[in-house]
Amino acid sequence: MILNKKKLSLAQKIVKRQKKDTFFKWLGWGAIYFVLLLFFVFLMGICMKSVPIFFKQEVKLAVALPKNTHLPLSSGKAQAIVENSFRTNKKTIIFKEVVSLNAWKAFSKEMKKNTGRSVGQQYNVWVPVKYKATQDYKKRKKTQATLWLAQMKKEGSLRTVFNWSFFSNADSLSPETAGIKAALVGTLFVLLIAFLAAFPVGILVAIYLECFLKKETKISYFISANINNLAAVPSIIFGLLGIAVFLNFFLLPRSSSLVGGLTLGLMMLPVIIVSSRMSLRQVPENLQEAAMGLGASKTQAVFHQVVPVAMPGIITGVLLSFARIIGETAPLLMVGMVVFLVQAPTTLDSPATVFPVQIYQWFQRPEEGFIEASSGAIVILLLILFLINSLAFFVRKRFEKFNT
Amino acid sequence: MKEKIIVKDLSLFYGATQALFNVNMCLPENKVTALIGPSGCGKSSFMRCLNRMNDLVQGVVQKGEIILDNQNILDKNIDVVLLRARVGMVFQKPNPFPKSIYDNIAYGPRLHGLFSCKKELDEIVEKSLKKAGLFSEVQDRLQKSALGLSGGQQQRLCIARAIAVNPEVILMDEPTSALDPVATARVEELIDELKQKYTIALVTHNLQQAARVSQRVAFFHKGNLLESGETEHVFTNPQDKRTQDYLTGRLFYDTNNS
Repeated sequence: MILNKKKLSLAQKIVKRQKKDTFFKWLGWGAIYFVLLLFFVFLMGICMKSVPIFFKQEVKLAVALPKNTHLPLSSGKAQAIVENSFRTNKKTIIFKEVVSLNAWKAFSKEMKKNTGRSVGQQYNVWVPVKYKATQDYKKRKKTQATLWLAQMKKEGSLRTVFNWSFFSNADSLSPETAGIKAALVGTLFVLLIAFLAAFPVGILVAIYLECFLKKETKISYFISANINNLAAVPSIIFGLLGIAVFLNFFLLPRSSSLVGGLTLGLMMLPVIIVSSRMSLRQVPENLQEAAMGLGASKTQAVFHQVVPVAMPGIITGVLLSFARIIGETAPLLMVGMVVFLVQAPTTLDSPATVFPVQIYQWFQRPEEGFIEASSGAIVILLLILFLINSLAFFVRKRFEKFNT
Repeated sequence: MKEKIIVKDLSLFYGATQALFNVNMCLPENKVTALIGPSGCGKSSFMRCLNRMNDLVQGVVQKGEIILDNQNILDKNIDVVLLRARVGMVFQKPNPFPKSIYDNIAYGPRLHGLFSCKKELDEIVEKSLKKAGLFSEVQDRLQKSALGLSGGQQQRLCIARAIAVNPEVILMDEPTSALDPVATARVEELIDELKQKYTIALVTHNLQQAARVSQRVAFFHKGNLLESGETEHVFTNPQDKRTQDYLTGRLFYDTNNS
C-alpha cells in the first residue's frame, strides 16, 4: 500500500485530489438539499394539516324573534331563540351535532348590527357549522347531520367561507369558533414588555462593559463569564425566577402579560448583552480616538460615534432575541399563562396567553379539530417569525449600505 | 521666534515600562516640527502627550511639564476636552466617521458650539474644506458618505475636520503612511500651507518628507530625545553618532540592550 502510494505520478495525484474535491462538493450539496427537504416536508405537513381550520362552513338559519323579547338579548336568551328556531324545522335532535355551540353569537351580532328590530319578524342568520359535521360532510359519510347539510346545500343555504373568526376570536370550546386573537395580543404585549424591560438595560450594560469598564481585569472577566453562562441557562429556570421575584416578591398579577414579559425580558437580557457587545467590538477603535481627538469626552465619543455604528448590529441582535423568546413556553407555563381565554387581553395586567402556550393547549384537547387549530396557530407563528427574521435581515442590509 | 510648546523633563510610563526619558524640547509657533526615529522610539507616544491622548491608555503616568502658552497641560486641573480643541490631531490611518462629509466636518463645531446658526456652520464647513484643499473635489457631494472618498481625500477630510474646531496646534501621526505618492504630495503641500496659521508637529518615517516640509526636526531613539534643531542643520550636520547612522540608514536595532 505504502509503496503504491509512492508510485503515484504527479498527474495521478492531481486527479485524486480533484476527485476528493468533487466528492466533498457533492457531500455539501447533499447535506443542504437534505436539510431543505426535511424543512419542506415539515412545513408542508403543518400547512396541509392547518388547511381545514382556515375554511369553515356556514349554514343559513331562519331565526324568528319571539313576541315577548326585550332587546338587547342576553346570551342565554339568544341561545334559546336560535335553538327554538331549529325546532320549527323539526330537527331538534341533530341541532347539537350540526350547529356550533356558539351559533347564538352570530345571531346576537346580527341583532346588534342595526336597530329598529321588529319583534316577531324572521331573520336569516349565517351560523357556523360544527367542525365534525363539516368534516363528515366532506368525507361523504352518511349521518343525520350530513344528510341535513346536503339538503341545505340544495336549498342554497350552505356556504364555505374563509374562517376570519380564527383571527378575530379568542379561545373557545369548539374548534370552529376558536381563534388566535388572545395569543396574538398576548404575544404582542409580552414582546412589548420584554423589549421595554430588556432593551435599555441590555444595551447600557453592553456599552458600559465594552467601552467603559477597564478591560482585562478580574471583575470584567467575572461579569462576562457570568453573562455568557446566563445565556445558556435553561428557560424553565427563568420561569422559577419569575415566580420568585415577580409573583412572590413584587406581588404582580399571576398569568398577566406583565409578568410573562418581564420573565422573558430576563431571558432576552443576556442575549442582547452578548450580541450588542459583539457588534460594539466590531466598531473600529479609531472612530472613538478620532472623536476624542476633536475634543469629545469619552461618553460623547461613545454615544456619538461608536453606538450609532454598532446600532444595526444591536437591533439585529434584539430582533433575533425576539425570535427566540416568541417561541418560549416553559417560563410562561411557570408564571401561569396557561389560561382559557374567551376574550383577548386588553390590559397588561389581565390574564393573557401566547402562541406556543395556545398551541400546546389546543394540542392537548380531545375534541376533533383542535389539532388542526393548533397547526393553524403554528403556521401563523412561523409567519411571524419569518417576518421578524426578514426584518432583521433588512435592517442589517439597510445600514450596511449606508456605512460603506 | 516664539515657542508655542515647551516640554520640560517629560517622562512617560506605561505601567512598569518607561517609554520616554526626560525629554526637553520646544515647538516653535507657525513652524512644522518633524519627529523622526526608528519604530518604537517613543515619538508617537511623545506626540500623544501633547494633547493628552495617552490618558486613554491604562496605567499611564506622565511626569514633567508641557507648557502650552504659559500653561502646564499635564496639570490635573486642565480640561482635557478644551485642550483637545486647541491641539487637534490627525491619525496615521484616515479615520472619517461613517457619516456624510458635511457631518464629519461639523462634528467638532457642534461639540464645542462654535456657531449660532446653520448658515454659520455651513461657512465653517466650507472654510475648513477649502483650507484642506478638498472643497472643489467634494462640494457637490457634501451629503454623501465620507467613506466613498479615496484614501488621500479621506486624510485631507480628517485634516479639515481637525481644522474646523479652530485649533492652535495640529499633531499629525504619520499622516501619509497609508497614502500613495500623489496623495502624499498633496498632503505635504497642504501641511506647508497650514503652517502659516497653525503650529504643526509631524511624526514621519519618511526622511525626505521631513526634509521637505519641516523647519525643525527632533530625533528620538529608545525613548530619548537625542537631537533637535533646525532641519537643515540636523540633516547636514548631525551631532550624535546615532542620528547620523539613522539618517544614512545604518542604524540597526540592537536587541541586546534595550
